[in-house]
Amino acid sequence: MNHDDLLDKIAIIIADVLDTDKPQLDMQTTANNIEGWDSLAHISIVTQIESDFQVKFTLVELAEFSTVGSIVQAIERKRNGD
Amino acid sequence: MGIRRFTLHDQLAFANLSQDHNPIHIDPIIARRMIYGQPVVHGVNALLWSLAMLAKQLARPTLIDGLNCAFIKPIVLEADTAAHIDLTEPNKAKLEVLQFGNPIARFTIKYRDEEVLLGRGTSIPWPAVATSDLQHHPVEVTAQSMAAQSGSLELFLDVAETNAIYGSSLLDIFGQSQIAEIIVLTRLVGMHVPGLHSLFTEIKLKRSLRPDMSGLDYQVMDFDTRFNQATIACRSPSFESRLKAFLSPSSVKQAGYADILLKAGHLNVGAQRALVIGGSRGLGEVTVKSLAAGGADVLLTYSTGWDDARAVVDDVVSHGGKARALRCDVSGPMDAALLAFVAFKPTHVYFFATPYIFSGQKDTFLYVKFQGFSGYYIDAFNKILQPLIAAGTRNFFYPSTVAIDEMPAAMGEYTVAKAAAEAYCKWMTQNRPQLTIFTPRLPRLATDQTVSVLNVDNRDSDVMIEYISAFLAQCRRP
Repeated sequence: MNHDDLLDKIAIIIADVLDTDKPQLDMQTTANNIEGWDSLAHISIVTQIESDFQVKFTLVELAEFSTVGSIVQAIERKRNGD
Repeated sequence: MGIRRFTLHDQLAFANLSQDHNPIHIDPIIARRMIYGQPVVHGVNALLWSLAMLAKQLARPTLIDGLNCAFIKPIVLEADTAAHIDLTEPNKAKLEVLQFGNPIARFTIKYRDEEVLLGRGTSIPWPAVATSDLQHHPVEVTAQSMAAQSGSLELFLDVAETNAIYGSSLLDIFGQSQIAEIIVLTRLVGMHVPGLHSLFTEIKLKRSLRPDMSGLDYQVMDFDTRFNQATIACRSPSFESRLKAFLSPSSVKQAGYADILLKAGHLNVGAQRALVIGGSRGLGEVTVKSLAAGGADVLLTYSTGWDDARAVVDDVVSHGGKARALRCDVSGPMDAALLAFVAFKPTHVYFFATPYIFSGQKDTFLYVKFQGFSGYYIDAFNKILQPLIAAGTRNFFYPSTVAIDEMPAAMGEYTVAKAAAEAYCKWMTQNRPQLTIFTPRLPRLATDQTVSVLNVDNRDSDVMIEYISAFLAQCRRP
């Protein structure tokens, strides 16, 4: 699964959690760019990503989620077994 | 669409109906020290209000097949609250609750007509109020014991009170059993698990009949320690449900006077008579203790928290310091308090009065909220400053904020009001050179205002001692 596929799946999760249309995401998108993505929504989005991708992020990884790209990279690291 | 304002009276009525007496919903004094800084509406109360509006549009008795509830933001009191109902899809309703134009709760309900509803038209064998677990004080479950929580709650429903609050269509359409099984969920979360420090965020409920059951069984399925979030599985006669609730942080306890005495005893406050506006908790409390530790005679004010103010005064006085407390609500008439301030003849004034600061929405600027902040930060400060300047006070400590540098997306009204207050202070000192108004941009410090379910970088509020020291150095400059 490449970056675009991951971005598309994350966009579907965000739309589901926020109950909105699927947002246009790129690696530089931040929570500030998405209406409704506040701190509580962030937790719902992250836990849904964990559930859908069968991964679990550490507190250190969570603290580094400044962009959607950083989430994509963390998923890839987890799936590559790093 | 329906519009209303929830009041504290509504909160108390729903607390009696649901037996959810969590103080975050009904006690303004305690709630001001909890995560939202003020009482907030029970999420299930907003849900039933929305369902009652939906009921008026449904002609026939209705079975709930599924219900998803997301409590997105706190629903504050005395603010216009709107509910939109979308019935464009068959057998599905989407309800959205908004405040200040922003969605704060979303409910999606899947339903079908049903002629025979349990409890409709006949009385169900439940009491009007719970007859067991009668405590009015919520349990305080710790993070360590959360995962082991399980138990049962009885169902109850005060039919007359439910009709009085929501109108008769709610029970006529949805029946007593379904509504009772929803109401008990707020009692579970608010009073039992997580209890006192709960933050109810989600209900996912689906129809699954268990006619042999007469109550609600619950069990914590997961407790995510990274977010302090509990997932609770529930079973009742009509539904299986999964709830999500945070264990929110408790109020921040500032250092005691004895500890601050060790850190602030070196402060050279001289023969200072210090007036600390908003000194019963948070940064004001640390400032009171620091100044008293340095030898100042302190008059602190509080708005509503007499118990907190008395605790600060007792702590200082019992260790030999000088402090007393006076009630002053800066958002109301201050004539009597201003006379007392002038009579006190303060040499230095420290201004910490503030409303709850995290009430904004991302990318939204509401002038009414800006006015609310400005009422505290500019109008009230000006009203206190003017008579004291006339009486000879020259030194004012006015905490500003790094938010002016950082411009947080969801704090527009607060940030602009603080920037305006900074400009006011600069204008005052420009035109009255004899004044010192010290306006440090404070970082995010650990107080009741800055607690969060997320791990955030709050600096120890003891750092206030350094700011006070810098202020006093500026006051001494010729």
